[in-house]
Amino acid sequence: MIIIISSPSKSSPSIAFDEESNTFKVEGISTLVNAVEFYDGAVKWIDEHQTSISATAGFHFHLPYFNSASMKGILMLMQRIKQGADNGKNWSIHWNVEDDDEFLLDAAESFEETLSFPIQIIRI
Amino acid sequence: MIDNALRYYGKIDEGGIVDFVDLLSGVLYKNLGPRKDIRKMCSFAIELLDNGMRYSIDHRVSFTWTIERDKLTFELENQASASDAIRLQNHARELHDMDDVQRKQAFQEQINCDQLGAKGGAGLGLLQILRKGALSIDIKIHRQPDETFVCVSRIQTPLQKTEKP
Repeated sequence: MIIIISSPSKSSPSIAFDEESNTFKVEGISTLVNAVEFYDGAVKWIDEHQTSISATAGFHFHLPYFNSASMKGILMLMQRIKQGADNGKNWSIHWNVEDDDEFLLDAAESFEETLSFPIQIIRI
Repeated sequence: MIDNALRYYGKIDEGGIVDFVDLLSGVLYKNLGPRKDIRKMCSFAIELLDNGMRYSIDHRVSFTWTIERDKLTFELENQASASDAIRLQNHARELHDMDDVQRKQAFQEQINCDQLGAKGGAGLGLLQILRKGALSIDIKIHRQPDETFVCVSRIQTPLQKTEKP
């Protein structure tokens, strides 16, 4: 079953958890004004369901464009994923990049450096 | 000689920014061909328009892009309160005075800061534009008779080719 945590809009990504494939996906453009509030919803969902999320879950991000406010929100979500990993889960972060795009590669590098946590680049 | 230019005046919101980015990425692709930095250039426009959306008193902006020889220029004009206009100009000056190491440190501080600005921003937008290779950010503010300000934010970024392998 796919659990929709947040439906997409023109300026916000979809956030969903696929129980079968054991993947958490954040997909779409993110040009939100209240981005921290938006991503905090996903953090709270993880807090509430952390025991039912598999120990080997993968967290996939595919965000073609995002503003700097969203960058802060995305980082907050990644920090929650890292916290899970620090507490014994084997959670991993996957960052989708199209065509070796500089903006997306730079962002992944910034996140990785800030988090001190590996981000796996998926070239699509 | 100007190769490509577009000017918009009117209301702006989150969805409007997405429309702009769709149009701009298409125009850049058509004019510059396939390259790895088109999203990066569009991200500069996103940050500028985001600032306009947050701080424009009447929710209207004038936004222009120009491709001329080896430079892409974005210019945003909006009406803002005195405090927002002066803060924006001071912030841009501070960022210009920083070297790369200081900008990197400022980025780490701001992205990890729990406090957001009064209107939701954390000052990251302009910092990201400069960190990611814009040549300059020029902010001019003009006091109006009603004590508001007109802010003109101008960003230039080089267009040297980075062809796909």
